[in-house]
Amino acid sequence: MKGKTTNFGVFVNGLLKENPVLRLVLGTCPTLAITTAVFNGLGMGIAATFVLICSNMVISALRKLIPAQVRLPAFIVIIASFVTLVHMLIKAYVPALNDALGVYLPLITVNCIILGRAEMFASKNGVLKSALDGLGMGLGFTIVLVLMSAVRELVGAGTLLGFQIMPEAVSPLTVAILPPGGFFVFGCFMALAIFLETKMGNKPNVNLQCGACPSADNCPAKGVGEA
Amino acid sequence: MSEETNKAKGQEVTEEVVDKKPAAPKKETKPAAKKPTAKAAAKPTAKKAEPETETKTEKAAEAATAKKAEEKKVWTRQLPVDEIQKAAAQQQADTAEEAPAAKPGPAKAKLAKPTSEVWQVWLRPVVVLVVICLITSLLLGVTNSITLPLVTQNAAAAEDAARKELLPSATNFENVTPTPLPDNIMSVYKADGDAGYVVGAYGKGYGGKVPALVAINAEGQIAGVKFLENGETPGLGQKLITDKNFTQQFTGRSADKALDNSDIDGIAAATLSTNAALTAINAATNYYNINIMGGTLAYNLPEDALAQLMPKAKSWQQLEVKADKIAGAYLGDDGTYVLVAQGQGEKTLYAAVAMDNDGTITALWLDTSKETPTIGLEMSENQEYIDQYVGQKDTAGVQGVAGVTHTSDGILSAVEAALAALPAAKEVA
Amino acid sequence: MPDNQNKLVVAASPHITSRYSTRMLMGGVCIALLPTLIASAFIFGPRVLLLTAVTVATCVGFEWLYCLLMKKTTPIGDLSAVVTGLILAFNLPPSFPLWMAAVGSLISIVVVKQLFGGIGFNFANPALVGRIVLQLSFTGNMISYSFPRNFGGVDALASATPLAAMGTGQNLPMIDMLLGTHGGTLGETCALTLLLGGLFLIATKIISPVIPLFYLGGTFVFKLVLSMGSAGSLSAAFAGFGGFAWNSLLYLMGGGLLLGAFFMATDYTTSPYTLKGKIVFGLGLAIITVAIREWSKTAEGVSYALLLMNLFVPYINALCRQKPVGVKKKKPAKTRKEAA
Repeated sequence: MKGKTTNFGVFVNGLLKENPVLRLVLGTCPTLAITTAVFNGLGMGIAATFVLICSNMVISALRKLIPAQVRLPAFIVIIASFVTLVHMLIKAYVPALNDALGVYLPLITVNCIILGRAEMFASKNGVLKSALDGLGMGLGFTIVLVLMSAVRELVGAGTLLGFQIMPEAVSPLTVAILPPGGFFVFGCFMALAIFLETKMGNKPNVNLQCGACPSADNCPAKGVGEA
Repeated sequence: MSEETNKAKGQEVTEEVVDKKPAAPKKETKPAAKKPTAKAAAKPTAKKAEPETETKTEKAAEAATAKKAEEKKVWTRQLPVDEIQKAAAQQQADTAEEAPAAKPGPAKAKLAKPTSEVWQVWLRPVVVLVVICLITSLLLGVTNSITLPLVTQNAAAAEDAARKELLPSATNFENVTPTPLPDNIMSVYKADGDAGYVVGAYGKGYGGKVPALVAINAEGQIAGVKFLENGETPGLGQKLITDKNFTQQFTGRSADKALDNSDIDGIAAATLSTNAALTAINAATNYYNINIMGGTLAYNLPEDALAQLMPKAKSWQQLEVKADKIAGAYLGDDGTYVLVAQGQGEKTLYAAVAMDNDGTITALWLDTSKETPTIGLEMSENQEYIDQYVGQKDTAGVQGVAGVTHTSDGILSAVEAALAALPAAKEVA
Repeated sequence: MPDNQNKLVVAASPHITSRYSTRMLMGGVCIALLPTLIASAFIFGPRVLLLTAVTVATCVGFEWLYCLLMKKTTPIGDLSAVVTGLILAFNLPPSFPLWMAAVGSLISIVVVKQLFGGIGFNFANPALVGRIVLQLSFTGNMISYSFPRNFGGVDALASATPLAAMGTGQNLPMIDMLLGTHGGTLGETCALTLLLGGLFLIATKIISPVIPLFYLGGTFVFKLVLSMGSAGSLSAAFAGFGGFAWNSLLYLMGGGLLLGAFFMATDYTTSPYTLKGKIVFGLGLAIITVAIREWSKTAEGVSYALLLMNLFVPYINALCRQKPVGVKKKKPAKTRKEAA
């Protein structure tokens, strides 16, 4: 809690402790869809980080002017305009990335991370802190994307950034680049994040909401994290 | 003892009433049910009580606070009475100050509220949103004007690269796309040095156009086919773009024949997309044959069809007519021209139109044998539909058949092509 | 610690114990699977034994290794890993590369079983999920069925598997189906030994006959109804009844249906425990299997049907609770209020 209020603390927050994908579980849709190749993951991460920083700064600057009733439409308009800006720039200067990301580039507009941070942080904090938060969250997002796509691409296609790493004789485990594999790798990474958090001493609050689950009686994990 | 406790209780209740007075102006409406109990409690020790109990606000306050007092009775039982009295006196002094101050306050607020409320609740959000939208639109407009030329340039360069990929021996391409664009054709590029042509054509698929680039080399063979971005189902029709096996089966085939489903291996479960792909390729090779190579579509009209079309003629001669979509032409000795035109319904169809010298249609014969059974196939037998054409000079009044759109459109365009080719036929005759 | 386990048992009621232990049950299943293994080795050649040995060894090995790393007591003595290894092997074609089979074992044991809590906590049949993952990942290898060595001699499959052939209207002769001398994965072809194994399990009360009965019966009925329905007219439907019934019988023996019905659908953890639940489970399996086989392009009807129904089991258990003795059914709220 102490670290959160300093500038550096705000920045570091988004890397692991409140990593948007692994801990806040925001933005899972592009995560699962894009992480089939490292190039895609990296491109998406950088684009989203840029949009996140810019939108956080603008929303934070305007936070006193935007009335509460229209804050969501206002946020969306600001975020959408930045995304369109990035889309136009990428189409013009890096068309290969545009082809690779396809429809997921304009979909950054409704990426929960950006709207979520605008609502949770930027609308309540100063411009510098919001920018740092955007940077931290964006970097956390990008790191997760790159790591996940590295694993999935290596196991599922035998390549990394397009270069053949695994020997030709070893058939790749295609399921890793299919949705089931994506979910599995995602789950493993979330477990890893919680493990690292625990090791670093901050016991993470994991609420499994076992009451709603029909398999609760059969499950060895029932009750974990409940206070 | 009960009287004592009663008195004490009553006292406490009224003290509590005094305690809670500052809350009075806010709570105007309180359950009336509690009022009698408050009054009843106030009565026994009313002498001590306040002249203010008569005012409306305080009565309501009493009710409100009495309710709270009832709830709090449990705890106040233990408190010594004198302490409560001290607190009560304190509160009384406070309320005396507050009460006059409280009164003009609400009145002031009421006056000031209307305009600021309208601004705050209705106008300000709208104004803020509009301003934000205006600024972002401006920003995006500027960026678009800067990047658009680059984007179109990139697209053109990509197209050029695609063409070179298909005809590697060519170094430069010349745009020879005709205007107006023929049906299903997007672009025609001539490779320098007579290396060949790259024709961009499209077919109508499941989710819109299925565009393709067909490269035909100098020997009249298909050098390669490349499918461009389309809106087909991912995993099915989209495979046209990525499936090398599918695209490679066209390489090396002669471009002088239209291809049919039986000639190729389609993409599994993507029939419509495959058909669209074939349409595109056939349109490209067709265009090449007719417009570039000056060839003709050959369609052999059966004898009985000719007899049906020209009942009064005893003999007829075949004409060589080179026009768009024309697959055959005949001239009967009674002066009737029969022009056979190719059209694109679900598949390839042919319409033989018999016209007299001034272009009035006298008869129509259709070959829709490749169309879908129960849908387009029976069009050749649909006398009612065919009769619409007879006696007309153009196809303006013809109504298509419901549910048979593709075939109807194909027939329509074929008949129009036949009509348009009459002057050319007259010249040759 | 393990030594103290059987000395003094202090537990809550019930205190009646059965003479069955997990090891005995799993051992029984292994015995039931043996005839099929022997028949398959006879039909497809000795590679079958090698493949099976590899899957069983890797399954047991991975389970032991995982429990060693996670500091849990080693459970390999209960033979459940052996059973998983056997069933996984039965789902693979005889020419499957050995290292890919090892990957399948890793996924079955570590991912599906151990990561979720070990025996009794898996959400789906481990061998089943292993098979599906291998199917998705190494599709080419999984569908390269080799033809029986003694009765054909062709290496890669020149002719289709029974279900594919049935799809085009040609049926394999019944004797081939029974003896399993046709293409397919190594454990699903020999219908005779699979039936024998299944009957053995039912006779020794290791499995309840309800699920196989309703699964196989349901499939038979649905397929019969479908083929009668597509006969065109009512008279044609009944005239061809004998033929349709025969076809349906052959249908039962094609694909992994018998293997799935007796050995995979009846896994204790992933099937309902009430009678009503078992009936629902069996019928659900039948419907989904027939639907996938008839109307979808994939060839994995039994696998996906089993997976889907496994996922539904907690809900089936919740909905098909049996009424305890003496409990009156809850009256709807309306009448309660009136009464009160």
